[in-house]
Amino acid sequence: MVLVGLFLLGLRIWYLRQEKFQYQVGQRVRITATVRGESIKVYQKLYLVIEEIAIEIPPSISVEYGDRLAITGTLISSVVKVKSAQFGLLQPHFQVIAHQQSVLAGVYKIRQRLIQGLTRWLPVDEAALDAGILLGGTEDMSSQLKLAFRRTGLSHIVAASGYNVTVVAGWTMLLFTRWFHRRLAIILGIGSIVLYVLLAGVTAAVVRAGIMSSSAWIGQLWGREADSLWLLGLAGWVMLMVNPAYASDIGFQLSMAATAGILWFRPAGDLWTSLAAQATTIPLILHHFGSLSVIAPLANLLLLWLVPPIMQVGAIGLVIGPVNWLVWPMLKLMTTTVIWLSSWSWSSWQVGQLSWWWVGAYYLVVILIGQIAKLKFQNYNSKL
Amino acid sequence: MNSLVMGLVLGAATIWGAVWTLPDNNLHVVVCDVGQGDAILVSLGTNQMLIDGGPDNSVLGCLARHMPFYDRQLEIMLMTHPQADHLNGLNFVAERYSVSYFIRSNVANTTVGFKKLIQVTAQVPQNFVTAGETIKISDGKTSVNFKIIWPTAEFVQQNSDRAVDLNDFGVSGILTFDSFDMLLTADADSRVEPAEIATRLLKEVEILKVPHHGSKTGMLPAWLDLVSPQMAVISVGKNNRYGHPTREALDLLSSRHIKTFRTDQNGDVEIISDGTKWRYNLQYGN
Repeated sequence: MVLVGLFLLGLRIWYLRQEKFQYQVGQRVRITATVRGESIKVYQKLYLVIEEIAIEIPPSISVEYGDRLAITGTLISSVVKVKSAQFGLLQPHFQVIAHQQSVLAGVYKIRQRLIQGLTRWLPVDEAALDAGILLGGTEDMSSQLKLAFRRTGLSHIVAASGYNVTVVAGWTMLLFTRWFHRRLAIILGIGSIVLYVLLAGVTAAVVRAGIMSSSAWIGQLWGREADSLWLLGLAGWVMLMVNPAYASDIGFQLSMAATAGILWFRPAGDLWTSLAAQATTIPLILHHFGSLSVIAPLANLLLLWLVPPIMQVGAIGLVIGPVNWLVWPMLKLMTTTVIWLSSWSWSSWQVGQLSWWWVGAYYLVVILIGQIAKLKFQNYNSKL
Repeated sequence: MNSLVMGLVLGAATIWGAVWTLPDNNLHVVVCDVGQGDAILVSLGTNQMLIDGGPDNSVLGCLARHMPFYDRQLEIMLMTHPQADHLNGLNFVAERYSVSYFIRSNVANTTVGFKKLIQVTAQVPQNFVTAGETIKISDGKTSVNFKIIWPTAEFVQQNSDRAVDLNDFGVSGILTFDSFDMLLTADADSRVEPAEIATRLLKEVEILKVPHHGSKTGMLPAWLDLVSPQMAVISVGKNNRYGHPTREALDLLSSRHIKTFRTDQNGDVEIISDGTKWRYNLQYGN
């Protein structure tokens, strides 16, 4: 079955290669695309990323979610590092062809409303952190705080992750099983997970977690307990089949690696869980960013316990404004501590980017050590 | 039970946080570090006047640093002139804070940012100001006055529909708290300074916000000698493409032995006065 799956995936990628347009520097291009995500801010400038092209949005133009755009310009090699963009567009000319109303655009509006609600009650960075913990994303966060989260290895807190989905799934099941038959509760639970995934901006991490939770529940309906590692593989496979571009999405890679680490090592407690996730994401972070957060274990130990209460009280704050003032002390404690920890010069080391070969070698060693440890453990058990 | 305890603990923490950030009785003027642009926060007690908003949302960080977390109201938002480096940030502010009054000079611009600001502030009472008028901020016991010295009503009337540099309309004024004075100048520079002198509204002040980010055409020596500040603050962005502040401006200030701070080097520059004495507080390099 695994082989068939891999074969299909290979076929899908080969097919994509065939239909893919080959970009060249100097080419004059006309791109039509629909805005389906956030614009990305780099050094005070806004960018849209379409396939491998990062396009700077001039301040005189306002682009909205759901806009269908026609952009013309000349391809140049990328000047700034925006996601995995290889190209930039010289003197882009924007034209809004149409505005599409869709469910996605509607949900995106709700997301904006919710975040805007927070910003009316909390100072800018605390509001951005609260929004990041609840719904993911760092749009409004000051560059200083964003950098501090990166340096302390805590960026995962503000990227809506599998953890958020697990919490949403837990809450909704707690409510729905009280009122409905189990079968109906599961269907409603899956519905609310889909809604949350949309609200969180359909990032790789929440999609992955959404697929895993949903398929675990469906398995339960059929009376089957599924192995989580298998579910992870299934989620990854489905995502790559639907959109092979996920393979180069850093969020997808980190989310898959972190979850695999946690499921494979089966750690107990917050600290070991975050250490397990760090152990399997380190080579990817080194490959993409070239920096190693030395302080990450300590930072996670000091601050992770704040995330569940911020989520609980913060979720109420999304609906009842003044409740946000009760979240404020926790948010302020977190922003202050993160900035303090990141201000130490040794908290993050710049070690240079690792090639994919080293990443592969690292995982090979981790898997070997893991297997040997497991074998030893089994021998030990059988001797007893 | 558990959630009750958590609620009580958080409630207590919030109240302590509020008490900790309770404002004093002094006047606080913060020249915010917003990059290349202007944003100046004037606070007396729980009353605030924000003069300009800088080029982007970094003004929000300055407000967060210098206002209590529970104070979500700006009593006055003043826009000196409708150019991006002074107004774009006001859009972010107007979306997040409730603004009681919006004050500006009677001149428009065609940019997206300006149109958006007019849209966002449609429900806010608006006033146009000209030289000679005074904006009064009072917390009941004491009050601070902002006397407008530029532009004059005649200047606006004669030039508002002509192609005059928008900088020339920059609302400038003297902030007075008992015997303490600070001159805020927007981007109105040496082209209009002779006319400013002619209004006879200028006087000697303790502190000057240097006109137009320290541009080459910023200050006439005669104008500076009339104002004769003890300290000057330049609101300017790191490595900006205009070369601000210019050698000329810095030399002129140092030739008069005026202690000068810059937001690109010192971050937020805060000036605190009790009405007679004053002191400053820098974000970096105190």
